[in-house]
Amino acid sequence: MLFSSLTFLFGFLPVLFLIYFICRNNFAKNIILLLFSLIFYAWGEPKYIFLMLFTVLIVYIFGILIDRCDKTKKYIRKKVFFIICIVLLIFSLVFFKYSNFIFQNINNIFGANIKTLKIVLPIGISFYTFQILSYIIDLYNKKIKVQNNFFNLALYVSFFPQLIAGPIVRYETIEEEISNRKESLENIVSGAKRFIIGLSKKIIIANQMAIFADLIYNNYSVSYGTSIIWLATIAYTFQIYFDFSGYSDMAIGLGKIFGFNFLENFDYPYISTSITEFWRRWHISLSSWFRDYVYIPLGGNRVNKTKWIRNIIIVWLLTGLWHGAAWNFIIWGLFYGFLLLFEKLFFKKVLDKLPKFICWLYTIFIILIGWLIFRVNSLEQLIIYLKEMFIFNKTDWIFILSNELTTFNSLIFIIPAIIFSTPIIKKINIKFGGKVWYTTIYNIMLLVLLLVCITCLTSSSYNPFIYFRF
Amino acid sequence: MNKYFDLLYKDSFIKFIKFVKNNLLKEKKTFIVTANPETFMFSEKDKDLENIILDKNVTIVPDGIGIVKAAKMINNPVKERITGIDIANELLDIANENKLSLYLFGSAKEVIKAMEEVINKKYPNIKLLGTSDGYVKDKDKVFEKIAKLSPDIVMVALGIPNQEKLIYKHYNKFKKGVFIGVGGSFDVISGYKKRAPKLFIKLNLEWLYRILKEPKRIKRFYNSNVKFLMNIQKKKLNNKINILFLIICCLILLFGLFNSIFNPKDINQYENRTAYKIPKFELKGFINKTLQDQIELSFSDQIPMAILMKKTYNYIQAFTSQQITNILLKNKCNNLYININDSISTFGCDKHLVYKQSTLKSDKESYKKRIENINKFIKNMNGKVYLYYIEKDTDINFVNNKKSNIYEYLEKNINSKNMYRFEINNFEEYKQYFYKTDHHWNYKGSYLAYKDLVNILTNEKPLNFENEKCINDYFSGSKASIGGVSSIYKEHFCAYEFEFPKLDIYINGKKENYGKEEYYFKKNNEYVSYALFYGDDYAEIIFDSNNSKKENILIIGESYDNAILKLLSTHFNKTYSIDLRHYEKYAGEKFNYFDYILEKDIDKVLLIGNKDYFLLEDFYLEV
Repeated sequence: MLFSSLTFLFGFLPVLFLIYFICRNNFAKNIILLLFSLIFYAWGEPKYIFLMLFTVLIVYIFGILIDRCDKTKKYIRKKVFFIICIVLLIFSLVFFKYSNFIFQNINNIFGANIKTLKIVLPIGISFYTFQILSYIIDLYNKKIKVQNNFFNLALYVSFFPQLIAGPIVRYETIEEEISNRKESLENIVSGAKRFIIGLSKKIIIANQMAIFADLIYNNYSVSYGTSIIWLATIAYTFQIYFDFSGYSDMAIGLGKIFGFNFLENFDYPYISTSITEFWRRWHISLSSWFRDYVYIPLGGNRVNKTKWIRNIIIVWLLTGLWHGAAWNFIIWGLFYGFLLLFEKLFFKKVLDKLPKFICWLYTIFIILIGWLIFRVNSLEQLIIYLKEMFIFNKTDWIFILSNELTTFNSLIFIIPAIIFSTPIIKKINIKFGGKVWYTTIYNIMLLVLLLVCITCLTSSSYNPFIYFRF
Repeated sequence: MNKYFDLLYKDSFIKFIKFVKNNLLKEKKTFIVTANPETFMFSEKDKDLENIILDKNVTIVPDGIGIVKAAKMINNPVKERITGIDIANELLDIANENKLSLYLFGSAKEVIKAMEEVINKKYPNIKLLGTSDGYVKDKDKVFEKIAKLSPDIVMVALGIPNQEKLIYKHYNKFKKGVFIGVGGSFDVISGYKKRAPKLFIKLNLEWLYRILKEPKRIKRFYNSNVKFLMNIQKKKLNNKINILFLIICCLILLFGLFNSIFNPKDINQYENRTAYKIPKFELKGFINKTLQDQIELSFSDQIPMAILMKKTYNYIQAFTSQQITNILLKNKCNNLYININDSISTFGCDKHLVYKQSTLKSDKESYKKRIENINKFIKNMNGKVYLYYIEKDTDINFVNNKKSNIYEYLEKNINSKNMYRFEINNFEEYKQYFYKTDHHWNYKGSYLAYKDLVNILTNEKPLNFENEKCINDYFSGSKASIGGVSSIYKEHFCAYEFEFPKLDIYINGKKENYGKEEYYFKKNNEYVSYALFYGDDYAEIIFDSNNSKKENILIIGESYDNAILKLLSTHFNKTYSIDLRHYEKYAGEKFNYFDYILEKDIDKVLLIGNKDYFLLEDFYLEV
């Protein structure tokens, strides 16, 4: 199921709220949440829900085994169990996500003829695998206590707000809250408001930007020249931010309503003045996951320079690969990896001396190129579009406009997109937050936004979701 | 901030003293914080102070009257004021009774000295382990010293929040002791400052006395009490607004849900189809996800105001597209197709809706089959068959006027010498003879075709029109509704007025009038459409002009000929019009042309239609 659907808003949510808030004890509440989360997942993935549940069962069993080994001081056995579990989890992810990519490349390089498998990527597998990996790794390192209740572990993994598109919630974040949380009116209100904001970001801005970006990126036409490809890249830059951060907002808001406090996943990434800063503001839960579970175990920056560079390259190679089983994602990851090295080793000193605006221009330029690499459907398209972006080629605007007039309607949403990429609303909230007139106006605006979102959902069937390939 | 109020001690002063005495004698560590509005206000901004307030091991008592009032306002009342000075006095009494030890930390040197004297005189049994004034540089060192001494009672007078933070910092160094931050209490106990007269205290006006004594306090008082209470009021009001907001959101969602389940619509008038309704659960449908799609579609049809929302959305889309066209394509629209959506475009600068050209190639197989069917028919009819092909926007590319040549292809392959066409060779002609917002020919086009057909089929002269009248200026036809732009694309609906001779008309067997021309010419500005004006598609329409000298004709057509049926029928005895799309439903069996033609003594047969007529299986003639 998608958050941005009428079924979720009018079917799933009201029924869930009614049942959940009638329950009094925590155990019943968790069962309700688990049940609804499973329905939510099965709605979009009726076949692979069993894969997810099976994965949880495996980790549950291994978790108990590892904990028992630790208590009985059988450390070698503990390590063996740990390694088996990790291998199983990673194998499952690689199998479903990367096997065809691997086979295609083997075929291309070695001229072999391995048949590609007929498997579909189960929704959210990249997210829940990483979440459950964080559980078993933290358990092994004794950062968290074992979860003896299978239903609670299943709830942690499959909890519907973050199952499909993150944020990647570490077990330690909600360990306490799973058994001991209190829903308060204050949290329900702020959660609901956060949800509406996320919903609006997705439906009003992201989907509209998608219409235009898809037009230019899905098919190449000779009438597309430099200016329209830049415009489409800008549209895609906004699309992915508002889509993904909108989804994170909805996840955090929904979590809050039920008494869970997830960590922030985005922090206005497009105001960054360096790539290093950008990656502290974008998809925070993923970059911190790689930092804590790959970079630091490899030694982080406490090793010699060569190894450090190797660590960074590995982390970024994996980051790119996590996003998709295709070469352009790997290039994208390495693109940022090398740029970060460049900044850390040398360019940071230059940036510190330049005015902030120049730094921002440099950063946003890199970000745009990055999203171009991310968005293209093939390496051929990457080369063509890069050429078009940097070697001037005239765009046949009249032809494109006359053929795709309605697509251009969406471009007007670039204006709110620019405004809301900056933390201006946050600042206004802090300044006027306590005032009664501000609360009234703000709440009215949110209600209007909710109605606009419902109107858009009712009227148009156009509702693509980027992170479904994860 | 409301959560702070949950943590306040809510019982009476006496009970509190009992509780403290109990802890004292049992050597149970206790940390007392006397809460003023300032305390809570600082906590909101100072995380460290907040942590102290929220700590389970800390006891918070309502010291200031502002706190007592605020607690009442938010329906979380306390019993009474419990002031630091009163607690301090009680502690001294208890310590004296039970020979307990004491440490005093804070205030000016002279005040501390005075305190020492007071204790020696009034409370001789207290073991005063030491004192320290509040102006020493290294306060942490003092506390480490206190820890070593391990007194039963520690009073700190350094002001909020410093006294609380300091106590908290070193709290875990102690195994026992009652700790309390007492602010300015040393000044009062030592006699340096006088407390307010009993009357003031009893009337809860201690604050007033202190202001009168030290007018500078008024600013502090305002900030921490008046502003504080105003803040609490604001928060209450904000809370109410937020609750209202939540309720409205829930109502919207619940209303939508209940309406969709318990009160579903059957027909979606706006989109001209049956409305989707929430289906019953079916495992198969769930697994292949058709059930999920169906449910989503039903919500989009069934939630209240769904139609209004769709209309608004489409209107805004059409309006913005129109603006973009006006601004960006203003001088370039002349020889240009502009796509309104996937199916329909405009051509030229004049808001004229058109369909794009269809090629012969794309449907060649279907044309071939249709031609076969027609040839079979012609063979069975022995020659009295006439064919009339109506060219329109789908037959021509208006940019270069290149035609699809569908007519030429049909003419070549159909075995009949009596094939004719309504020709369109450029956009000017199309504009003249067809509607801007509907796919049919307009009154000029249909009249031209009528004259053409009279020439082909008879030796008579065509009827002349009496009048040319316009019915309204807001007609919006099929093309506009397909484009979702009915609200923006409108045109004049005009027609010729004819003087018809007497005709007996039978529609599907019932004697009725066909079309409502007379009605529309009489009325003014009525809502009209092509079908309403000229007449709709029916399985069988019979026009009888009661002129047995003339021939009988069978017209097998579609909706285009509706405009000219009445006119043509004036030149024949009996005119039979059959619409093959509706015949089977009406008659219960397929149209058997052979028997029909024999029965009705038909002399001529006319097959008339646009490209779809010569393409679709709906129009196949069978024996």
